[in-house]
Amino acid sequence: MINRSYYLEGISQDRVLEVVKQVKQYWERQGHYIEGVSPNGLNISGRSKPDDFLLSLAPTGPENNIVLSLGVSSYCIWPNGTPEPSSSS
Amino acid sequence: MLDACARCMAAHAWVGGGAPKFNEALATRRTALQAAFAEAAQEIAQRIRRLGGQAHVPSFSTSISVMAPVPGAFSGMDIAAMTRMVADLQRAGQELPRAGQRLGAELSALCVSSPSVRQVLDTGAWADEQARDLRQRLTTIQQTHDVGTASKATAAFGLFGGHAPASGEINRLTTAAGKGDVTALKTLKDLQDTGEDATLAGRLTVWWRELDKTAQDQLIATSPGLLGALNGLPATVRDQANRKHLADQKATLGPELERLRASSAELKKTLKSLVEQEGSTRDPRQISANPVQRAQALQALGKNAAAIKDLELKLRQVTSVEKSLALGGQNGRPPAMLLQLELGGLGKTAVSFGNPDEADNIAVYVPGTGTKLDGFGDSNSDAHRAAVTWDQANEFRRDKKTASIAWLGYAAPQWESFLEMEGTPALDFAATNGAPLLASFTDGLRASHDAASGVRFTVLGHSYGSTTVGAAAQKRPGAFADQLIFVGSPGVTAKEVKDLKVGSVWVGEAPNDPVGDIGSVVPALGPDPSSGVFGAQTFYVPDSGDSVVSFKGHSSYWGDNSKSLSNIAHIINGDYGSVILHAEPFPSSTVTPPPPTGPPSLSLKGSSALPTERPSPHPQPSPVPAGE
Repeated sequence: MINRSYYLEGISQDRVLEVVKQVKQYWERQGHYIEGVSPNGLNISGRSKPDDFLLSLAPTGPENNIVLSLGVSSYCIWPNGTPEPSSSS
Repeated sequence: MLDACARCMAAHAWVGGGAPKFNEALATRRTALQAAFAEAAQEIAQRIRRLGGQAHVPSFSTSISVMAPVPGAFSGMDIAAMTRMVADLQRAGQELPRAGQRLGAELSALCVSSPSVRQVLDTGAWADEQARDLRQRLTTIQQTHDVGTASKATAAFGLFGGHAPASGEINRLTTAAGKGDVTALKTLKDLQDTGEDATLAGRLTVWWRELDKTAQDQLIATSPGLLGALNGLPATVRDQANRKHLADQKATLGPELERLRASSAELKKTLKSLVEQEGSTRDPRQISANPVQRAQALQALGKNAAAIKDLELKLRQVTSVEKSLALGGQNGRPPAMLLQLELGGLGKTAVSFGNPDEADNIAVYVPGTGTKLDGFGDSNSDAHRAAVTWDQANEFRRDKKTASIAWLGYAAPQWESFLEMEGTPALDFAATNGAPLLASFTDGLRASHDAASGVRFTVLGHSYGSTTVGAAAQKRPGAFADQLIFVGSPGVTAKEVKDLKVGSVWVGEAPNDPVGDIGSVVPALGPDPSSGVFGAQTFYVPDSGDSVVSFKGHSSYWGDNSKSLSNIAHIINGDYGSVILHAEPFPSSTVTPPPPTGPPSLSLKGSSALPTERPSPHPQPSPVPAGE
């Protein structure tokens, strides 16, 4: 699997929830599937369509200094293309 | 005058150990003292009245609100308060005899004799004696504590140790062990393994702290494996002792293996020549002696083979432990600490990333069926799971210290032992046998934790590990952990969540994990904790996409960047608002996205959001299931 993740720095605390909403709306507009949202609205799990990559947005840090972490992971793919079947099981 | 002491004790009696007994003794003395003064005053008043005067008897009873001892979050015994109490007792010890003598003089001047005087004098003597004992203990505590607070264990057994119940036998053992008596040390470990005495770990914490450095070093040098397994000792000491044990074992196992292999090679040569001789000789003595020599050689070879197998196993276990420890100190992790090591058989160990004695949040991971020491440190195996748990919890809360422990202190059931009562994953015997060992281990973590800081203590059970956790929690009702997490659980030996008597219980089950559903088929381990009937809080675990029959879903809880791992981390950190509880229902119709109203790139208007790449692990091959 391959993953990429980023910290979204420089967002003031009072804008964090709004940013999360915008990310969620963007994903939905792109046709991706929102799999789950935490009660505080800051932790979001999604699946991209059609590739079924894992999309993730999560809060890090203490309540008064939240930094959002944005990430994408692919599932079991061969980064260098499907290899030839080997003789060992 | 004993009121101040009594009030102080009322506040602290719940720490347990000798405190309740002392509190009781103090209360009895106080009541008796007040009664004595009251009686003496009555006598005097009667005398005065008889002589024709007016006398009003003052009241000698004072009340102290004594609540039933309720253990709360212990933030440390205030040494200053205790010192004041000891000073009060000492003053009582000095003034009461004077008061008694004065009272005696007054009464005899009135020609009244009274047992009250004796009572007052006795109380004075008792107070003095107690003050002396407590002062001595307090001095020892102050010498070994550089912070103003002392741990609950210290309060219970260090200060009030003289009053602690069942002290006799354990004191005898610890005293002997402190002098280097290995049998006593082994007996303490055996006692610990029964899990019967929840206070044992606390006593050992105090014992170790009061031991002088020479005795401590001696124990580490001569019995490192045994000492390193004692719950209640500081994590740093256990780590030091177990690492020494590891090095000692490695140093002897290797050469011993070489020796045995050489011996076997020799024996094989002997056998070969014997067989050749048999064919070629006609000497009758040789012909009769040969089978006996052959049998002897074969027997010796057999013994060697068994010993070699055992040594090879132990050396593989050593490698597993080294691989586990190597996960610490890299990728931003703190060094790993070895909290237990037992080679041979299935093996036992406990590896902690981060120091649990200093942590704000502790997580103990208990693995399930098929887990053994050989393989513990393999990639995507147990030590790795504890390591990535540390990574995730730390990433979410860098302002807190995390300790993530992988614990294999019990004999996990094995698939090869499916038909054996004690070793099968289909029955609860392995869990029942493992429960006291786990309960004891958690006793130790609680006892050795620095008192000054609060701690959130989570125990996470995977698969059959959850069964063991459930059984252990019921051995320490209300005193096991702050919260439990069960993933892939086939049942936790409890009928409903309140049987576990733990404040907060979370259950995660991957949709494609068949083990989680076994509870409905095999009732021996208890009902499925993810069911509504059980009553625990469930949390979301994504479907890993692997087929159910591959069982890979059963190991997916720690997947790289998986929402399961992040949910687990949020729970460990106490950030419950961030836990994703359930999957959103899949939209029933295909959604056609409306045409974008602006540039299709992600826009965060009004903020200067600069994505910065965070260090990510290099791409890994898809995870291989490592035991259930």
